[in-house]
Amino acid sequence: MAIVRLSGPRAEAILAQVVRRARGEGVWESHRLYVGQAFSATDQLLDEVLAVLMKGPRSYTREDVGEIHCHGGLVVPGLVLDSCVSRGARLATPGEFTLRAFLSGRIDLGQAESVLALIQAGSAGAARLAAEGLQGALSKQVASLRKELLEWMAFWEAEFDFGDEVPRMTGGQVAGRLSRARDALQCLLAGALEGRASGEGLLTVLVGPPNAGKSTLWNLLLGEERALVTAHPGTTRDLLERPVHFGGHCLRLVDSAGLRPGGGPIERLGMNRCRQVVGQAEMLVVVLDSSLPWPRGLELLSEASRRVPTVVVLNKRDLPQRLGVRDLEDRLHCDAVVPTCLLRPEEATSVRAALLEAATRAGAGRAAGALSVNHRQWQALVRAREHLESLENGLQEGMPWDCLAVDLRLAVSVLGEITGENVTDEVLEQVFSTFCLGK
Amino acid sequence: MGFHMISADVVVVGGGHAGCEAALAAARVGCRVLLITPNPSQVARLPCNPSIGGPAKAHLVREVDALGGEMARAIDATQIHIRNLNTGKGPAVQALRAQADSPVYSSRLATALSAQPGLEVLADLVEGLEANARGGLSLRCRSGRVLRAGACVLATGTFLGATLYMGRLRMPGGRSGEPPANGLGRSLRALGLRVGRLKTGTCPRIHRDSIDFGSLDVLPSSCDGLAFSDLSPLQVPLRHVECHLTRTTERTRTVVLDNLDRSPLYGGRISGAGPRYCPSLEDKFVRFPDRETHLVFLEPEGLQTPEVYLQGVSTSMPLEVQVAMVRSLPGLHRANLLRPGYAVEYDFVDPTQLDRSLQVRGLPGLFLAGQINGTSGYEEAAAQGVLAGLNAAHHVGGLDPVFLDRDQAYLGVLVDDLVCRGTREPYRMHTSRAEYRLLLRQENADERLTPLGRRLGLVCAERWQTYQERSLASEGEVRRLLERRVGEAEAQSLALRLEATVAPGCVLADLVRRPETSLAVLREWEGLAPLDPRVQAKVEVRLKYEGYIARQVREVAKVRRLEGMPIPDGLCFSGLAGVSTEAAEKWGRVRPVCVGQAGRIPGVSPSDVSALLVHLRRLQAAREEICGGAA
Ligand SMILES: Cc1cc2nc3c(=O)[nH]c(=O)nc-3n(C[C@H](O)[C@H](O)[C@H](O)COP(=O)(O)OP(=O)(O)OC[C@H]3O[C@@H](n4cnc5c(N)ncnc54)[C@H](O)[C@@H]3O)c2cc1C
Ligand SMILES: Nc1nc2c(ncn2[C@@H]2O[C@H](COP(=O)(O)OP(=O)(O)O)[C@@H](O)[C@H]2O)c(=O)[nH]1
Ligand SMILES: [Mg+2]
Repeated sequence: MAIVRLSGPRAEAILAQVVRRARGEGVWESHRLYVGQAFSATDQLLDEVLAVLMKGPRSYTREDVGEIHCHGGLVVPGLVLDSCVSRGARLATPGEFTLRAFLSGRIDLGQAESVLALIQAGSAGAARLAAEGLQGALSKQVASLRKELLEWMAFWEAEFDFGDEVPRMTGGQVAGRLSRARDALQCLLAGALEGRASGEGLLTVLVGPPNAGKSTLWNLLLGEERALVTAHPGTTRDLLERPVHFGGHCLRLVDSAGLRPGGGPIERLGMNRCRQVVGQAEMLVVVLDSSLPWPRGLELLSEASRRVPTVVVLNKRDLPQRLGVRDLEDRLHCDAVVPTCLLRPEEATSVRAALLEAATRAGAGRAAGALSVNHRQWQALVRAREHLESLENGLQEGMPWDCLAVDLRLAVSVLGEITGENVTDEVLEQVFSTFCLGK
Repeated sequence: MGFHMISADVVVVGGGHAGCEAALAAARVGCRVLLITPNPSQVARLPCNPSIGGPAKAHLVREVDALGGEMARAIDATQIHIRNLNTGKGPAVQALRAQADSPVYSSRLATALSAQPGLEVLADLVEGLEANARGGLSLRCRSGRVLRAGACVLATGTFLGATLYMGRLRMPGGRSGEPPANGLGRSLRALGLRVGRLKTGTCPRIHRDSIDFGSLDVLPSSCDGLAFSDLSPLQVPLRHVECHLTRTTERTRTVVLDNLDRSPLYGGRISGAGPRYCPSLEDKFVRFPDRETHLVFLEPEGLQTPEVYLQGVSTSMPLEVQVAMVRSLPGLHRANLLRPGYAVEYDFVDPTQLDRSLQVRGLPGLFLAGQINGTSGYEEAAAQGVLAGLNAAHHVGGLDPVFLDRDQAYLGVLVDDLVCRGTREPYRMHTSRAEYRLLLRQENADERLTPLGRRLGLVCAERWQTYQERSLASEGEVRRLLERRVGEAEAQSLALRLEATVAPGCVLADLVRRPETSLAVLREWEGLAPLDPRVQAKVEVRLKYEGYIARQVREVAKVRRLEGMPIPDGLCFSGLAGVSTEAAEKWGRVRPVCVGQAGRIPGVSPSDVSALLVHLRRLQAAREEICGGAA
C-alpha cells in the first residue's frame, strides 16, 4: 500500500482529474474516503484506489490536501505520481509537506526547530550518504568513470578553445575512450543490477504476446495461483507486482498484459501500461509461444532487450514447434533462451536458474561485486549509458565533435548527480592542469 | 585652472574597448555622452596581443556587432591576417581570429567616436567620484573640471592602483608609459566597494628586420573572404601579412630557469593572481617541466610599424634575460628587442557587487565594464561596454534595465558568471563556460540579438534591413530544400555528383543533413547561383545539426522554470527556515535575482535551493500544487 499526497489550492481539482470515484458526483466531501480508479494523463486506468480530500485548514499543511491510496511497490505509485504531475502538480522536495505545515502556522515554534532539523537532516543525510558513498564501491567506480570522461572532455574542450596548442585527439583515440567508457559503465550497471537484486529488488517484467504463458510463469515463480490464467487471450490487463526471493536475490516480478497489434480498448490500456513498465524495467523475461510463428507487436522489445538483461522463455514445447532460437536473431538481444513447457511446474526451475544467472552473470568477472544503488542512481547510470550510446551514434554518422560534446557533457553531469559535482568548473580545472596553454 | 562644471547624461571613464563601446551605445540610444580618457587619440589600444577573436571571443565580437557595436566593423576594416579556426570541429566552436593593424585599429575607433552624434571625448584623468545626495554622480578630474552625470560607466581597465613590474624594476603605471588611476581607486574604496588584486603580463616586441624568417614555419592568412560584422563585405583585404611560428629550445629553458629568482613572479614581489590560460613563460617551464618545447608565434603589429609581437613569451624578467630568452629561439638569434615584456598588477572591483545590468548595487547610476570587473581581454571588455552603456542610458531615461540570459549570448554567460560567482583570476571567456554552446553560435549571433538591439534602438536601419533579408533568404532556402523532391532520374545524376547513394523521392534537405554533403555542391547541381555564404552557413547549420540543437533547446526549457522564478529585491535570506548559514551569507552578498542564479552560486546546496523555493512560494499569493509519495 502506498499513499500519494497532494497539497495546495488546486489539490482538489487535480485529485478529481486523477481519480474517478465509483460513486458520488460533483464536489468532493471533505474528509470522506471514496473508492475509485486512478487514471493517467492519457486516460489509461492505473489502479483501483481509495481517495480522500481534506480541505484546508483542517489538514496537515493547512492547505487543501488530497490523498490517493494505491497499490504498493514502485510502479503503480510512480504512475499515479506522474499523472498528478502531468496535471499541474510539482514533486515535493524532501520535507516540503512538513515545511509547508510550519510555514502555514500549522505547527508551532517548538516544532519548527524539529522541522529545521528535518530539512537539514535531509541534506546532512544526503551529505552523509555521499560521504559514505565516497568510500563505497559505487561512488568509487562512478567517480573513476567520471574522471575518465572528464579527461576526455578536457581534451576536446582544450582543442576547441586552444586549437593549435594542444595535441589533437585522433578518431581512434576517441573510439578507444568511448569503448573503455562503455565497458566501465556496463560493468557498473552489471554490479548495480546485482546490488539491486540483493537489495531493493530488481524490477523484472514478464512480457510477450497474449496467451504465451506469462501469467502461468508468474504464478509458478511465485509459487501460488495469483494471476488469472485463462485460455482466452488478453486476460491479464493490470500490472501485478510481487517480490520474489531466491538464491539470496530479490526480483520484483511484474506480470503484464500481452502485447499484440489491435485489441479492444481496455486491452489497449493494459498494453500501454505494459510499454511504460518495459521502459523502467531492470530485467526482461520475454515469454513466447513456440507453437506459433513470431508474433507482431513486440517491436519495442528489440531496443529494450539491448538495454537490460533479457531472458527468453520459449514456452509450449509440448506442442508442434513453429518458433525456434534462430527466429529470435535480429529481433531480440537475449542473454539466455529457455525452451520449456510451463504446464509442468518442475520446468520452472530451469527458468529460475536462467533468471538468476542473467542477473548475476551480466556482472560476473566484470563487476568487482554487487553495488548498492537505489532506483534514482540506477536511472542515472542508465541515462549515462544512453548519452554514450547517442554519442556513439553521432560518431558513426560523422557528426562534429562539438555536437558529440553535448552528449559527453550530459553523461558527465548525469554521473555527477550520483557524486554531487558540477561540470563547468571541473572541466576548466582539468583543461588547465592537463595542458600548458596560453600565448 | 579655474573651476568649471560640465554635465552630461552619461559619463564614461576610460577609452579602452569597454569605454568606447559603452560611450557609443549610450549615444546611439540618444543620450548626451562624455567620454573621459587621458589620451583621446589613443583609444581602444591593444596593449597585449594585436589580435581579436578566437574561440568564444569571436562569439563575443559577433554579439557586439549584432547589438550595433563597433568592434567587429573596426577589426574587419583593419585586419591584416585572418583565419576561421576550428572549422572541422563543428558549428558551435568555429571562430574567426584576426590580426589587427594595431595603430590603425586604434585610430579607426577614434574616428568612430568623433563621428558619433551626441558623444564628446575629453582628454582628462578622473581622480574622484561621488554619489550626489539627490541622485546622479559627480566626477572630479585632474584638470580641475567637475563633471555631473545622470549615470556613469567606469571602464578604467588595468589602471586602478596599478603597478608595472620588470625584473627588479617596479613602477606605478596602468600600462607601459601611462600613469595609474590611484585617486579614482581610493574613491571607490571610500564608496564601500570591495576590491581585489589581479595581475597579467605581456610579451616582448622585436624588430621585423632582425628576424631570420627563412628558417621559420609560415602561418598564412585565409584566402577566403571572411568578416566578423554582418555589415562588412566578405572581401580579402589588399594587404595581408604572414605570421610565423617558432619554438622554445633547451637553451630557452636554461635561461628561464637559471634566472627564476629575478622574475618578480617567482621572487614573491607580485601577489595578485594571474590568468591560468595566459601563463608567463616562467610559469610554463615551472608548471610543465615535462614539456620539451613551447610554441611561439610571431605576429606583426601592423603594416607601418616594424614591431613584431612574440606571442607565447609573456614575461616580466629583467631586460637582459629577456634578450637572452628571445635570442635562444630559432630564427631570432639576432633579434632586436624594441619593447620588453612586463607584468602589471592592478585592483579590480569584486563583480559580485554588481547586478546583471552591470550596475553597482546600492549605487544607482554607477556602472562598471571591462577589466575593472576582473575580466581580461578586449572582446570581453567591449561586450560588457555595450551592455553597461545601454543600461546607463536606460537608467538616465528611467527605463527598465536590460539583461541577457545564459542561453541567449556569451555576454549573458559572462555577466551571469561575474555577478553570481565572481572571479579569482582574470576571467576569460571559453566556449566550455557556455552550457548551451550549440545555441550560441558565431553564425547566429544576429538571430539571437539583432531583433533585441533593434527594439532597444542600438541597431541602425541598414543593419536591420540586412538582417531581415538574410533571415528571409535562409528561411526560404530551408523551406525550399524541405519541399524539393528528388525524381527517379535525378537521383542517379545526384548520386554521381555527390558520390553517395540517393534514394528517389527523398527531399534535398535529407541530403544536406548528411555531414559530408555541401549545400553549395547541391545548388551547383541544380544549376542555381551560389548563396550568400552567410546565408548558406545558416541553412547548413540549421539542417545538419537540427537534432542536437533541438535537444539543447529542450534542456533550456527544463531549467527556464527555475530561471524565471524571481527573488524579490529586499528579501532577507538570513533566518530563512532550512537555509544553511553559508548559503544565506552568500546570497546576502551576491543577491541573486532568480532561483536559477541562486543555485549556481558556489557553496549553495540543492536543499538550500528547495528551502528558498518553499519560502518564495509562501510569498506568492497563488501557490502551486505539490505531490509526493509515501509508502
Ligand atoms: C600588460 C598587459 C597585459 C595584458 N595581457 C593580456 C593577456 O594576456 N590576455 C588578455 O586577454 N588580455 C590582456 N590584457 C588585457 C587587455 O588589454 C584588456 O583586457 C582590455 O584592453 C581591457 O579593456 P578595458 O576597456 O577594460 O580597459 P583598457 O583597455 O585597459 O582601457 C582603460 C582605459 O581607461 C583609461 N583610464 C584609466 N583610468 C582612467 C581615469 N581615472 N580617468 C580617465 N581615463 C582612465 C586608460 O587610459 C585606458 O585608455 C593585457 C593588458 C595589459 C596592459
Ligand atoms: N500446451 C501448453 N499450454 C500452455 C503452456 N503454458 C501455458 N499454457 C496455457 O496457455 C494459456 C495462456 O496462459 P497464460 O499464462 O494466461 O498466458 P498469458 O496471456 O501470457 O499470461 C493457458 O490456457 C495456459 O494453461 C504450455 O507449456 N503448453
Ligand atoms: Mg496473463
